[in-house]
Formats: sequence, C-alpha cells, structure tokens
Amino acid sequence: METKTFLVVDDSATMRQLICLTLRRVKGCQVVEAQDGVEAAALLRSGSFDLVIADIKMPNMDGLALVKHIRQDLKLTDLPVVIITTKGEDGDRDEGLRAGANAYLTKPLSGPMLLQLIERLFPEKSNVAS
Amino acid sequence: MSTSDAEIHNVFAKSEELLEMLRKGKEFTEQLLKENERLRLRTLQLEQETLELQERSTKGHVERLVEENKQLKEKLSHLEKRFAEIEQENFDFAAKYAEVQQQNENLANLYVASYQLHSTLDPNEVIQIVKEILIDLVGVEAFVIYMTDKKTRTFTPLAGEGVSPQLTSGTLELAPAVRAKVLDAAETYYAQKETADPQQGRPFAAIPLKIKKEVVGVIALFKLLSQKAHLGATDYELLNLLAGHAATAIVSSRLYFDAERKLKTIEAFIELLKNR
Repeated sequence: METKTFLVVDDSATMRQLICLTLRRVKGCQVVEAQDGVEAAALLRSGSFDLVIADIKMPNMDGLALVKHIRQDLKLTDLPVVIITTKGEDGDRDEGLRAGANAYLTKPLSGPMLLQLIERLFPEKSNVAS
Repeated sequence: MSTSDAEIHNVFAKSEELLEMLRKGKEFTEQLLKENERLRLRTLQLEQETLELQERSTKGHVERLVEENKQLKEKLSHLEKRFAEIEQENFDFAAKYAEVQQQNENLANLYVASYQLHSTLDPNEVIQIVKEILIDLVGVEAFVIYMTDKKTRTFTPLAGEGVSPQLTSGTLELAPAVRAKVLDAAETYYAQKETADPQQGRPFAAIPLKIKKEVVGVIALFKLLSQKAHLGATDYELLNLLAGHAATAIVSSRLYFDAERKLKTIEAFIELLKNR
C-alpha cells in the first residue's frame, strides 16, 4: 500500500498528540508535526506531503496565512488542506475555504470525524483500520 | 329324372348352401357381438382403472405438494428466525463497535490529557495544557482555574479563558450548597443546564482540583463552545481526570519552580559569601 505522509500543524502539543494518535489508525501513514505555519512552510518546501491538517489560531504564521502560502507561493494546488477552527472563527473558516482549504473540522476534535474526513479525501481505498 | 326335378333338386341344394352360409354368418355375427361385448366391458374396465389411477395420481401429487409446502414453510420460518437472530446480532455488533469506538476515543483523549499534564514541570506550561484540554478536548469556551487558599478557604484565580477580566482577577463566589459539595466533599458540581453567565460569576460546573482528599483548586466552567450542545461521557471522564491529575501537575510544577528559584537564590547567596 502506498505510504501517505500527513503534516499536522498546531501550536498546541495536546492537539498535535491527539491528531497523531488518531492518524495512527490510518494504515500506511506517516505523520510529521509542526508547531506553526513557518515551520510547516519550511517542511513543505523541503519534503512531499499528501495532506496538511492545520489549526487556524497559531503564532508566527496562522492557519489562514499557511493555506494562502501553500496555494499561492508554493503552488501546491492539489495538496489537500484541512483547517481546524473553534467558535468565533467562522469568518476565518470561510476565508480559509476561499483561500483553498479543502475541508474544516471544529473543536473539540472528534477522532471518528477526522477519520471520516480522511476517508472522504482519499476514497481510492479504505485506509482506516477498524 | 326330368329336367324340372333336376332344377328343383339344384335349387334345393343351393338353398341348403345358402342356409349353411346364413347359419355360419349368424354364428360369426354372434361371435362378433360377444367379442364386442367383451371389448366394451374391457374398455369400461380400463376407463375405470384410468380414472382410479388419475385420481390416485392427483391425490398423491397434491399430498406431496402439501408436504413440500409444509417443509418449505418450516424452512422459511427457520430462515426468518435465523435472519432475525443474525439481524439482532448485527445490530448488537454495530452497537458494540460504536461503543468500542467511543471507548477508544475516550482512552485516546484521556491518554493525551494525562500524558501532556505530566510532560512538563513548568507551571505556565502546565496551565497552558490544562487550558488546551478544556478547549480542545472538552470544548469549553469560558472557564477560570482557581487555586484555594488553605487558611481563608477562598478561591484565587490562576488563569482563565473567554471570561471578563473581573472574573480572572476576583475571587470565585459559589452558592453555599455548591461550595460545600466542591470544597468540603471534594465532589464535582454540575448544574442542570450547561450554560452560565460568566458576568454573574456563577459557573455551570465546578471541578475540584484535589490531591487525595485535599482540594487545592477549582476549575469553574462558564460556557461550552457553541457547537458543543452538552457534556458527554468522555467529557466527564476528562474532567474527572483533570480533578486529580491537573491538581498534582499544577502543585508539583509550582513546587518545583519554587524549589528551583530558592536553590538559585541560595546558590547565588553562597557564591556571594565565597567571594567576600
């Protein structure tokens, strides 16, 4: 099975760990973590990724700026990007989707919802281990 | 003999022949009639036999069909019963799967929360992690973490999120019954409705931060995120975990921080004495 590499971008170590723990259930997937948009952008420039999951609210470069950077500067038009939002960030969420994010998840994060979203984004095969 | 006598004799002989022929004809006709009668009888017998055979054959066929029908009905009933049983088993498995999935998520959340709480000895990081657990895992929008003063038994705010500055600077006022439940009984208080007015300073939930039976602080919850309708089983588990682990993490990190600070002060003081 083809290995997929996911990039998880969140300044919250708790969220990163929870997302990584959930993504471990996706067969043949590798997870790389970044604390903010700047670190994520550097990783995206140097490596190849199949999915980016980014929080909206982050220091240095937030999720919105990261989405714009991915689409406009890095020209990674086919790379799926999922943004994570909380209440009060509805405007940011819409802006994120307009900027090119493929989907969004809301906090508190639900593991099954994340796995469902991944199945939707990668429908070619059922990757999720039950 | 004269000619006429001869003719008469001839006629007589012919008539005798004719009579003989007629007699034979009669016998033949009688035989034919007899044979005809016998054949008629035989035909009747055969017809009768055919009818009986037909009747017997139809009756047997119907009986066989009835038997087959009965067997098929039994089979159908058995299959329907098995189908219902399997459907029920399937339903049970689906429910079990959902339950396991839910438990899996609960365990993942609890593991992450517990792991993160004990991942640092920096008090600020511990507080940040408690905040992250409350926002990211439980889905609380407005809350304040208070520490308890042992002497005055009052609550002093340590950190908060989504509340007015007054709430993070003043003390927490709890109704006497709630206070008794949280501070004296060291039990978590949950209001009937999971919303509260942060301005009024009355939380909808108060989680005692306890080390064994001693309450060292309280997490007051004022509001859930709008997409979060109510607290679920996982949330109660997480809040219970916070009640124990957050208290230990906060207190130990603060003690460690104080000890480090004092050690540095003593070391600096010793260094000063050495240099004199």
